[in-house]
Amino acid sequence: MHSLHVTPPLPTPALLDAAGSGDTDARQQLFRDWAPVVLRWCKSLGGPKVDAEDAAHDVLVTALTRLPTLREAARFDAWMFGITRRVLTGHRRTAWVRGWIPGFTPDVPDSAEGPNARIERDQTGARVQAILERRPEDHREILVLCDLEERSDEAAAALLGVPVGTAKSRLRRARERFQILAERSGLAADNAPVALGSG
Amino acid sequence: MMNNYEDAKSAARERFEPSELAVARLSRRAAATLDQPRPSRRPMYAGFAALSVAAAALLFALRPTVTVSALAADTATTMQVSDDVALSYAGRGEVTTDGAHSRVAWELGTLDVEVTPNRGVNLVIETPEATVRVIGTGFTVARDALGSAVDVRHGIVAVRCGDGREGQLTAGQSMTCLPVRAAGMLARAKALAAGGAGDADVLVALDAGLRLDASAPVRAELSARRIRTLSALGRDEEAAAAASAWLAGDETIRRAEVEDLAFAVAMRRGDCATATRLAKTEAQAATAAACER
Repeated sequence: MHSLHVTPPLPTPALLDAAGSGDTDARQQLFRDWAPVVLRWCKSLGGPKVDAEDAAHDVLVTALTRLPTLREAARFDAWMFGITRRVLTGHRRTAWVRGWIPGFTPDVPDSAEGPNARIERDQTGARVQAILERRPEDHREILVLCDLEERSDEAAAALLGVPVGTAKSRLRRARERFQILAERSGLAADNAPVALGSG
Repeated sequence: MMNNYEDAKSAARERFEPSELAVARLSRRAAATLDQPRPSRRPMYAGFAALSVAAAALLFALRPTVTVSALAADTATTMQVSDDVALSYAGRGEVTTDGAHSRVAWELGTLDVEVTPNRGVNLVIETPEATVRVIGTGFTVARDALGSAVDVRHGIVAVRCGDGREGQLTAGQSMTCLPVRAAGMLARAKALAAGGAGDADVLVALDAGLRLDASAPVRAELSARRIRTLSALGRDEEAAAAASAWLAGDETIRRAEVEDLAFAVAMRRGDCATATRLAKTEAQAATAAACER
């Protein structure tokens, strides 16, 4: 059984109204709750060439600016996820274009490395990220939501705006493909197949 | 090489988990963008806007020059922040200064600070666990998975830890501020174990982490490691009770590992009935059956 653990409580309509009207405290409350979630999404879904903080900044600014257009407070998380997807699409495109500009230094992800190298875990995390990067967007999203963030199939389907059955079959295919790529990339040790999924 | 999917997931989560400093930086930046005035669409405001721009330009020209510099180096690097503040660092952070007031947000690694005394310099060093205020001194702030350690060479600094502890340090004194988040305590426990610290010290860090608010994956890792550490300390009764409580829940992360630990502990305690109930493999079932006989 999966458990929701990375999504903060949904903001109340009153909080959203206040934030949308420019109330600084309400805005800070939204940032406190949602900035970590949005930044995590941008890091895991954006890939290594996207500057996750830049993308998350654009998501938060877009969301706060468009808050008055949000119709259902109960669907705030799906709304935020939708904005994140659209912003990331633009940032990935920009990163791709930059890669073709001579002399342009590509963006780097928010560095997890430091002088105190956490070699093995960093390598594994980087390999998982590299494999996710090679997957199509729908596979990447379902793996991140269900396997890294431990959401239920139903919760992931709600965020993605697809039927639960679609989410389940997509997750199954994504896991199968991930496992093949994990083995090819040397992520799996002998007798210990690596798959992100637990089921 | 990592050899199971829980380790792979755990490593990926760790990679994607944003630091507190990154979140704080992001929130500040987004708030600043939202606070920027938007261009007026009405011509009638043009004169007012021009006046505002002129006033802003005047204020801009008169303001103290604030500079923000990123600090990032794997080997010792020096930086003269102002005439009276010198930094030597190996790690990463960010320094903001207007000459008289400087603030360093230090994220990871070692930061060595020298401040000329009695020159009215106001310097604050912030890490996720500690705030260090100083006027005229020499000291070092080292941040790693264990926490933030402050060592004073000369002068006096005031240290305030995120957990509420405060102190004034004089030459030769040091103070360590422990992580204030459960994930930080988990990292401290891992670093202690990797550094060869005793299991008792590791257990203290794990227990401290479990007393803090934690996301489900972090709580699961803390709990699983606590059970393993209790077992390593020979405190099988506590390990068995902790494993039993953990397995009664519906947490999936590290479940197989905790089941194996609980089985091993039950066998060591001669609790054959529990071992039989926990046996998942044929080998475990055979061992438990032999125990029952």
